Amino acid sequence: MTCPEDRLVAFLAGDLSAGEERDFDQHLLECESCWRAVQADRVGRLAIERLREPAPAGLRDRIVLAVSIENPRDRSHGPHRPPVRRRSRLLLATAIFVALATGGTVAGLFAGGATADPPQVSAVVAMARTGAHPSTALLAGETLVINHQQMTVRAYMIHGKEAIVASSMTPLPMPSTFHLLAGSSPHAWMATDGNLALYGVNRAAGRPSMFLAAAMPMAALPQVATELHLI
Amino acid sequence: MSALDERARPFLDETLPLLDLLYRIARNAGQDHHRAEDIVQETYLRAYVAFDQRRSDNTRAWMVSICLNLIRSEGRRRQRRITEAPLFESAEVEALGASVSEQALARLDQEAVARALTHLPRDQRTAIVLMDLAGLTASEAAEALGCPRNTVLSWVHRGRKRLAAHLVEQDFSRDVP
Repeated sequence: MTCPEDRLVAFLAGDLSAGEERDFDQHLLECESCWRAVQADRVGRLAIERLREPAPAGLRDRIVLAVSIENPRDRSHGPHRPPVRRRSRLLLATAIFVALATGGTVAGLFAGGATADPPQVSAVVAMARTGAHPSTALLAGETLVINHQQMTVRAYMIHGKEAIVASSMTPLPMPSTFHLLAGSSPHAWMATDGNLALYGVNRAAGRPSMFLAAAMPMAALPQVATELHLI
Repeated sequence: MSALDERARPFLDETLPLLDLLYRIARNAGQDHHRAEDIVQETYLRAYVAFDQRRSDNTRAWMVSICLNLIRSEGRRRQRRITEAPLFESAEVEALGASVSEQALARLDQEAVARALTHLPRDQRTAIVLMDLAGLTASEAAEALGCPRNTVLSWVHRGRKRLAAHLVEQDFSRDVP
């Protein structure tokens, strides 16, 4: 014979009154089926306790970083923002953080990718790829040391598009497919990478050099650089 | 960064103590540890955005429900169903329940328990993860799952019984030459 389960469940949850509990204790002495159920419940609960593992070291720091670069307004005003792109920016932030935390350099992350571009360029290209809603930190400008070069990376919204701009007081390297603009002074170059166009201006050390990457026609970039007062 | 800290700090102070709990939920909902970490991170970001507008007084139950929603949508995206085949008829569960010993329990390894857990019906598994692993009260679990407290308690009990039966069965089959 099987007893109704609710009373057993209430007993296990400690929901019974003192009187009801006494009655149920008595019942357990007489009812083999309920007794087994109580025993099995205990075994199941104890077994599960073996799975209580703490969160991995580092997850806490990762979350603090992710929250600190997340601008809540980005999301509340833009619910239709494609999750994949947001994710990739987050992953990028995570990757940078993890690499730096483990004593690596950002350069190591971007070196040896699909292209033979210098890490400084690959990093900016990766950021330009990741989405149309720059994080607060990128809007404010992030100073990174990539491949031993200190550079500031900043995101701008211009003509409805995101442009990622890298600047440095030492000349910045160019992508492998660069095209020097003939006769320009200071030295300007252009390149494309997928749907992204890149445009850069290099000056001698001690004077500002910069390049930007944006999903815009290449021909628009010199104008964008001027509008942003980059050159 | 100071304007950001003003918002982020109270949020993190209140929610970071829930990190282990959320990780256990994600980890034991059939996720490997990489995916579990991503789910927990995304849980925090979603919670951060909605933190000021949250309706629940119980931050714990509220964060857990965000985490569960992410796990569910993840499951749908992957179009992969975790095996939900019932392992035993209830009669067998009754019979095996009696023969569980302390020794058998001591022999159990973590992997066997984790494996057995993935074989439970989803409702039972989720209820067990919330209460026995994450340490939620039955009321909190009920709030996170959007179902009555008694239902959660019943799922937990059935799940524990089935889990015990499965583990004992495994133990027996190992002892038989």
